[in-house]
Amino acid sequence: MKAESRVEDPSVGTRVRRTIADWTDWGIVDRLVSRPLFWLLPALVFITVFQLYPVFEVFRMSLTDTSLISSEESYVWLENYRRLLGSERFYSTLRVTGIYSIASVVLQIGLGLGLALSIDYGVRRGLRGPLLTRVVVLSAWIVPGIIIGLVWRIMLLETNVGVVNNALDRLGFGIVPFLSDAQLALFSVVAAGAWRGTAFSMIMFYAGLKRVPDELYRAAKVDGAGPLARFRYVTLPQLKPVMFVVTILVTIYSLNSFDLIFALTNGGPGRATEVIALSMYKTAFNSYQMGMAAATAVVLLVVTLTVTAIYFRVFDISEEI
Amino acid sequence: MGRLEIDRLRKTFGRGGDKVEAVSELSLSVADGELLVLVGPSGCGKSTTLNCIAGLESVTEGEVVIDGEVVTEKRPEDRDIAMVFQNYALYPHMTAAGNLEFGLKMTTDLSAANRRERVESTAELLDIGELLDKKPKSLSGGQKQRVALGRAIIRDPAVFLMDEPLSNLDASLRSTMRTEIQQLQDDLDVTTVYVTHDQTEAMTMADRIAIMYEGELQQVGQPLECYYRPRNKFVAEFIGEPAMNMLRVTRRGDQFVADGFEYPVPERADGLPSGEPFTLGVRPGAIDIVEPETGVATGTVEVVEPLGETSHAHLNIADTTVTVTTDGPGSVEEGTQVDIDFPAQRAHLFDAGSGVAVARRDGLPGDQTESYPNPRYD
Ligand SMILES: Nc1ncnc2c1ncn2[C@@H]1O[C@H](COP(=O)(O)OP(=O)(O)OP(=O)(O)O)[C@@H](O)[C@H]1O
Ligand SMILES: [Mg+2]
Repeated sequence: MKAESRVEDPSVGTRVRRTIADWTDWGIVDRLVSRPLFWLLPALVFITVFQLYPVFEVFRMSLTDTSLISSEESYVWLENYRRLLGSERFYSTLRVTGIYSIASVVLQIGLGLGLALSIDYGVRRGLRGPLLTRVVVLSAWIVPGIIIGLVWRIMLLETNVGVVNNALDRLGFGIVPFLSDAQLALFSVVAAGAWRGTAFSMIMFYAGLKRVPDELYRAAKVDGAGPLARFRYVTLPQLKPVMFVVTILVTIYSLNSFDLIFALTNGGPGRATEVIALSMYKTAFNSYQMGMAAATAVVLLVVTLTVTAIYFRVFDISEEI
Repeated sequence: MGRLEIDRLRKTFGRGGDKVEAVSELSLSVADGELLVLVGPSGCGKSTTLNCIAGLESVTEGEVVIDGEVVTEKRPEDRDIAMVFQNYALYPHMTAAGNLEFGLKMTTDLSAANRRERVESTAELLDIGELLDKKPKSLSGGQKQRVALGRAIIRDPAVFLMDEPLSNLDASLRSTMRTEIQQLQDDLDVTTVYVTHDQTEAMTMADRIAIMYEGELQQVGQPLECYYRPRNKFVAEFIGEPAMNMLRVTRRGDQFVADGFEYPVPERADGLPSGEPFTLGVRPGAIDIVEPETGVATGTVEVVEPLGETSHAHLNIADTTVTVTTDGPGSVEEGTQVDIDFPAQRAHLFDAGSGVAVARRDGLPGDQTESYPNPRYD
């Protein structure tokens, strides 16, 4: 009995398939499925709907006078760009963004590399500290930027309530205007940003360091290279690809940073800490000038792309690995 | 010029419960210009010993002396040694020339031109002149190994240390490089400690071999000495391919007997007590297949592995497997019964408990061995 039904099964299947084939033309499906386009389609749709279209829309909007408070919209073409590039505010934000980004890149790479080196040193020697350090530093990265901004704001409050000022006060120093002095505020923003971003570069550098074979260090030791020479001739060259990725990512991230500064100083005092992304936000949601904000966004995109392109030239990673 | 002495070296890793003694009480001396091969199974402490000599690992106890100078506390670069690593350990971002030059750049104040000169003459010696501008990733395994050798040679050290330098190469390249290293070492006349777990490498290259097992030195001596006069069962089994056959026997009067096996006690073993158990060892190549009823034992041929010129026949003699190296095809058939015999000189006897060799033969086949000029540690 069983054997019989097994023999019959395929014929049932064939019959079903034939019936369906009568309804639809399977040839079309087969041909479609064998095209690469079919398999790329979901990703293409996703990118188009959620990335390409918004970029296009922002670009289109930057040519209009769209406003949040009126429903009318007309094309003003390059008027927004002319006004933006002619305004003092733009150059001030550009300068702040530049300082903030350069300081961020330098600090985050320096601190991240330093931390990663000491952790790697500990691990290679079988010490215990590294895991704890990694957890503590990483936790700084898990917390959202906006919360970090608030935490730092509380720490730097310019009364006795502020943690830092309270401590300084006890030590007999006066209150330091961390957030209301133009230069100190910029310094505070950079410090908070570095405090947060260091975790990321540390993780990247540590991953890079772990890949350096122990034998290379031992060969260098036998060759007579001291700790500094080993760092210079073994570690650094091995880290070059990681250095490239970290530099690019930190740069892009700090050129576009917004949340932390928004929470910590909101660009103040005056425009002392107003970066491009923040001015874009304010233009859009405080002044309701969507067209102008869109133009700012486009300029920011161009700046980011240019800097990235420069990095690709300067680093010359084509030879690496 | 360099004479290397290791005096009661001990090295432990870890603390408390995880403590591992990688090397214990190791004493060795390597004469100037000698090539000593340190051989042993994986994990026996060869690399650890080498690293202690190099100064890459600190020593727990004992001393390392190079050229009469105690270097135990010195840093690697102050020990006048150079090392070749298993995975080449070439600096990947430097060219072959850069790799060769690095040690000179770090330890001497030669001018760039002088260094270049040394690089070129070393490259010529190793026949890697055309590779000097290439980076390691575009070199083949054999070429990388040459560059790594060059990096060691160029510094003109007192002692060369090599940790399994050939284990990443394929079989044919390995045997070419083996000869080459040997020749190079001969020409340069540098004291060398060469680590390997390959006993063929050990036998063919060494002036003397040192056999280690579980952190302890088992025997030091010329290769043939270790082959024909092993000091214990471990050495006997480790050296030689295929491994020596071992039989549990008991002395009864003037015979060593076991199940289905009877062998007259050799003259030199006369002093061994009767009624005691021993391990009798005999190399596969020493055993002859003889006419039925004339041998010391009868066995069934279970498997024959043909190798061309010779074959390995595995016989079953009273439930023990005995391997015999026979002439090429046709000398024995699987499934047949054969008799075996071997000369008294080729029988090795070991204490059944400790495995220490007893009643060793006096000399090697042919002439007598010269006693080694420095028998202190042997
Ligand atoms: N850094 C270390 N920490 C702890 N134990 C170690 C360390 N290095 C080696 N050992 C232990 O010491 C013993 C000897 O190791 P070693 O590397 O010297 O062996 P080896 O003879 O070179 O073996 P192989 O032929 O596999 O290279 C091993 O049991 C190993 O586990
Ligand atoms: Mg090893």
